[in-house]
Order: sequence, then structure tokens, then C-alpha cells
Amino acid sequence: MLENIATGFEMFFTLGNLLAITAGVFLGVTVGAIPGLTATMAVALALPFTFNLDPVTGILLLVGVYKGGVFGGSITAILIRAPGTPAAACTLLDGYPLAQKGQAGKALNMALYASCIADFLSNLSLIFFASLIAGLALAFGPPEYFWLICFSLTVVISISGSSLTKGLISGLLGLLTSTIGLDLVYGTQRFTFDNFNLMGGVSYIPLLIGLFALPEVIDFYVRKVAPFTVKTADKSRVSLAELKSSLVTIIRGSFIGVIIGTIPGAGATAAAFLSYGEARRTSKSPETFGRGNIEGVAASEAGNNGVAGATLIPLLALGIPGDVVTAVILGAFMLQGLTPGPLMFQDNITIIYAIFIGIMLSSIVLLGSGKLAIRYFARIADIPRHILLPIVLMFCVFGSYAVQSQMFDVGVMLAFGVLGYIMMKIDMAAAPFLMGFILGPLFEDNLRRSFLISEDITIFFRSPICWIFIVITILSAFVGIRRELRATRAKRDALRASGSA
Amino acid sequence: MSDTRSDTDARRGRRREIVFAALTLLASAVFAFVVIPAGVTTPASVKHLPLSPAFLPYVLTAGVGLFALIHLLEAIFAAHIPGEDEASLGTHPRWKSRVLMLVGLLVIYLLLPDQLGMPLTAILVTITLMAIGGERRPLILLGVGIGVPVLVYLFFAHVAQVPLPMGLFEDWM
Repeated sequence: MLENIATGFEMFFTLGNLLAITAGVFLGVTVGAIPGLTATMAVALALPFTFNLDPVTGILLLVGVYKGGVFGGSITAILIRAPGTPAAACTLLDGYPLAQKGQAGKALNMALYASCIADFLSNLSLIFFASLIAGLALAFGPPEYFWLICFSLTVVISISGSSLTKGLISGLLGLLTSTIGLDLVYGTQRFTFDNFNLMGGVSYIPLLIGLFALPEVIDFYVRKVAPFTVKTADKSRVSLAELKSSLVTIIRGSFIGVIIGTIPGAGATAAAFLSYGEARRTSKSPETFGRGNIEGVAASEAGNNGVAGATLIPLLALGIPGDVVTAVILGAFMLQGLTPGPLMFQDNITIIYAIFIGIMLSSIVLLGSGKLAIRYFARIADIPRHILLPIVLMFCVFGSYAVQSQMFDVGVMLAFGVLGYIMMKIDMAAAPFLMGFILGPLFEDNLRRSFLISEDITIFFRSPICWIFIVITILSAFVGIRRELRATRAKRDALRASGSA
Repeated sequence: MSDTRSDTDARRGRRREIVFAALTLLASAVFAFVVIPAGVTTPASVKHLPLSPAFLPYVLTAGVGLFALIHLLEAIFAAHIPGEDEASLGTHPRWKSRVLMLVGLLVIYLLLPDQLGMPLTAILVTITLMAIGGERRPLILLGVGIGVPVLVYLFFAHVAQVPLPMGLFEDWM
């Protein structure tokens, strides 16, 4: 084994590999920071460059792009409320209010630290628990997935904002929107009204951009004065005390990310929101979440980045890609004549070790490139809003068009922008809508697949995993609803007291 | 004086919540009785209710209706809690004309790229929006308004390989 590790080290430590991982992370951070261009797109773009590279160099380039892209998405989410990636939508809940308070630097740095720590822990999990966790993930069938998604959906309660009922309505509307398109089982039309563009469903990138970024643009032209101006000399940094107090949240979020990342298809968005919900649930001041709580940024970024290394677990251990990005990476492996899976651990163990070493190094590279990116990207917040917002709108349009190269997606973005603005005006949180929309297809798919396996409802109670998720779903919903009702009662009491005073 | 004002605000806020809940309730009824039957095709071969393509939309619509009803009852019977937006800044004195212009520019973004090309449309809209926002310096208007869209176009078209519509300039490329 030691001999293999030594050979792996030798294989990794070449200038080409170091350059590949550095260039990959830089490219990923840059592309991830642009609304509409996702980490997936960045990895797909980088794929052709790997054709003529060594297997290790090529794979590390793609892994670097992926990891950089996941972090990059949070930069514009914090600065201009336009998440670069869907998972970063959770980061804006507290990151953007912090930027509004003139603490963009603090939010960005916390996002970076949480990302790097989570990424590092995720990589360690990949190296040490790959086969163990992959085996556990294989025990998930449709009923187990169904309950996992139900559990994830209980987070909607925590991100409902000022009104629980409105938050729940928002989440249900998101789920309802996700049903648009061709039916998964019968292939019949649902709410497409013969529109060819809707057959594949509503694209999530235009929806995401519209829902979060466009309302800010509209609001700027409606309000009396600019909602906020970030001070030019934003020197806010994360103090050691803040980092220490957020460490438990980061570690917990990282492990949530690792578990979710291991399960194929569950995704970084669910992990980010779950981690956020958990941080809010255990916080001593849950009412500050959504108003610029630095722990909120740490939690969502930890959950989001905890997924990054873990998604490689089913890929390397079983040869199963957990999401689109790992499917592209699987393609890169195959182009190099390698087939990920148990056999690769026997036949190409030195390559595996070389990749592991590179992946570990990527966390350090991410820290360096992230620091550099923050220094330059943070200047975006200094641009006067009457100049910045037309540029944001341009990115919204270009980014939406880029998804499928069609103007229909620009229309979708504008439509959801108007919806997002209305939601902002009526005090209805948009995050539950996004959560419902992203988890909707998984929820329905696994519900119906379970019924296809057995028409007997007992299929949903068939295994201990089902029961574990049923219990934690009920507990999470109960605790969340009780907390929200208590908070509402406290607000009413305070209002009554101030009225009678 | 301030008590009267906060009472008026509370009444207005309560009314707003009642209108929202009532409209949502109405919308869920319309959805259940009109939109789902018209928009979801259910094959005759469906044997088990949860496998029907209409099953989830009906369940979700019922959920929306139920929570809208709860919200309506809450708005009628419980004390109103002012939302964050209610206490925020007022609207711009010329907000109607500004919004109208913004809507016009959004429509331009939607309809003109195929004719004018994405870069030219972006230049036009960006310059106009900056001017509406109060920018008067020609150097900024033209420098940012032309420079940034061209740079972004070059990035999308040549780095990200996104084939953006070029309209009039199709033959030049």
C-alpha cells in the first residue's frame, strides 16, 4: 500500500498537474461567479482540453473547475443577489443582507473559509470512507429516496421568512411549477399547452436568475432611493471568534453535504438548504437568520461544498455518476481508457492515489484563488447601483439565453423575475419556491417509482432507512412548526405590549 | 398621531393579507377546476391514482388552497404583524414612468435580439437604463454602455462558446 501511495505521489507531483488544478480552480471560480454559467457548464467546457492530457492531469483539471465553480457561485449571490449556481441561492439569504450592511468582505471570506473546510472534510470522506458510504448509498431505493426528499422539504419551514403559511404556499408553488413538462411515466403533457419549449419543463437557471436577481433590478427603479450602497472601503473581515463560533456549523454542514453528496441525484442545493435549516434550528438567535447572520453563510456554503468531494464517492467506488458534473467526469475517465468502479481500485490504484492527492491539494488552491477572487470581485459592490444593475440585467439575459440558446428562456427569466418581485412585495419568501422546484421532480419521480414497484403503500415502510427518515421528517416538521408558531406569538405579544404602552 | 398612523398601517396590512389569501384561494380553485383538467392529459390506462399525471398537481393545489384558507383565517382573526417591506422606503416620485420604461426595455431584450443582435440590444438597453438611473456623464454612458456588453459578448461567444444571436451583424461574424 505504501508503495502505491509513494507511486501516486510521484505521479501527481508534476508541473502539469499543479498547473491543471490551479487553472481549473481559477476557471471554475470565474465561470461560477457569472449568473447563468454553472459549474456543470464550466466542466463541460473544460472537457475538450483534457483529450490530450495525461489521465491524472485531465481529471484534476475537471475536478478543479468543479470545485472552483461551486464556490464561485456564492460570490455574485452575496454581492448582487444573483446566485451563480442554484446551490448558492441559499448563501444569498444571509450573504446579501450582510453586503447591504456594508459587510460584503466578511460574508465572502466566511463563504470561502466554510467552502474550503467543507471541501477538505469532503475530500477526507472520499478518501477514507468511499467504499463504506457507497455501499450505504446503494441501499437507497425509490421509497428511501422519497423519504429523504420529504425530510429535505421540511427545511421550507425554516426558510419561510416572516410568514409560515406564505412560505409553505411558496414551497408548494415551486413543487407545482416543477410538474410542468412531459409526464415522467406516461409521457403525456402537463401544463405545456402544446408549447414545445415547455416539454422539457421550466429551465432552472432562468427561473433562479429571474426569481432572485431581477426583483432587485425592478426594485431599484421603483424605490425613492437606492436600497443600499456598499462603502468603498469595505474592509470587513471574519474575526477568529466568528470563525470559531461558526466552526460547529461548518463541520455539521460539511457532513450533511457529504451524506447528501454520496446519494446519487440528491444535489448540492438540498444539502445547502438542509445545512442552513439545521444551523437555524440549533441557533440561539434563529430570528437573525435571513437578516445577515454570518453563521447562515457558513452553513449554506459548508453544505454546498461538502457535496463536492462526496459526489465522487459513488463515481470512483461504484462507477455511478451522482449528478451531471460527475457524469461529465465519468466521460473524461472513459476517454482516457479508465473505467471507474471497484476494478479501478485494483487495476489503477496509483492513479487513484494521485487523483486523491490532487483533490486534497485543490482545497488549498481554492483558498488561495478564492482570496484573490474576493479581492477583485468584491469591487463589484463598489460600483454605483445605477451602473451596476443594468449590467446585472445584461448578465441575466445572456446567462438565461446561454442555457439552451433560445430566447424562450429569456422570457422565462423575465416572467419569474416579475413573480419574484411580486413575492418580494407581498413578503413571500422566494427560497421555499426554489427548494420546491428543485426537489419536485425527485419527489414525484420516487413517489411514482415506488408505486410502480408495488401498489401496496407498505413499500414506503419497507426498510430501517425509511423509518429513520420518517422519524426525522416528523421531528423536523414538528420542531420547525412549533418554533415558527412561538416566534409569531412572541411578535404578536410584543406588538400588543407596544400598543398598550 | 403616530398611534393613528400605525392603526391605519395595521388595517392596510391586514386588508392586504386578506386580499392575498382570498386571491390565492380563488386561484387554487381555478387551478383545480379549470387549469388541471385542461392542462394535464391523463391516459385511460392509469390504474392506480398516485401514478396519474394529475395526482400531484391536485394534491399540491389542495395544499395551496388549504394554507391560503389558514392564512385568510389568520389575517381575519389574529393581530397583524407588519412585514419588513411595509416599514421600508417609499416609492420613487416618477416610479410609474420608470417602471413603464423598464418594462419596455425588458420587452426589447426579449424581442429585438434576433433582429438587432444580442450585443447591440444589450448596448441600447444598458445605456438607456443607466440614463434612467441618473447617469449623465457621456464617457461613463458610452464607455460602460458599449465596452461592458462587448466584453461580455466576447466572453460568452468565444470563451463559453454560446452562439448568441447576431441579427444585423450575422454576416459580419
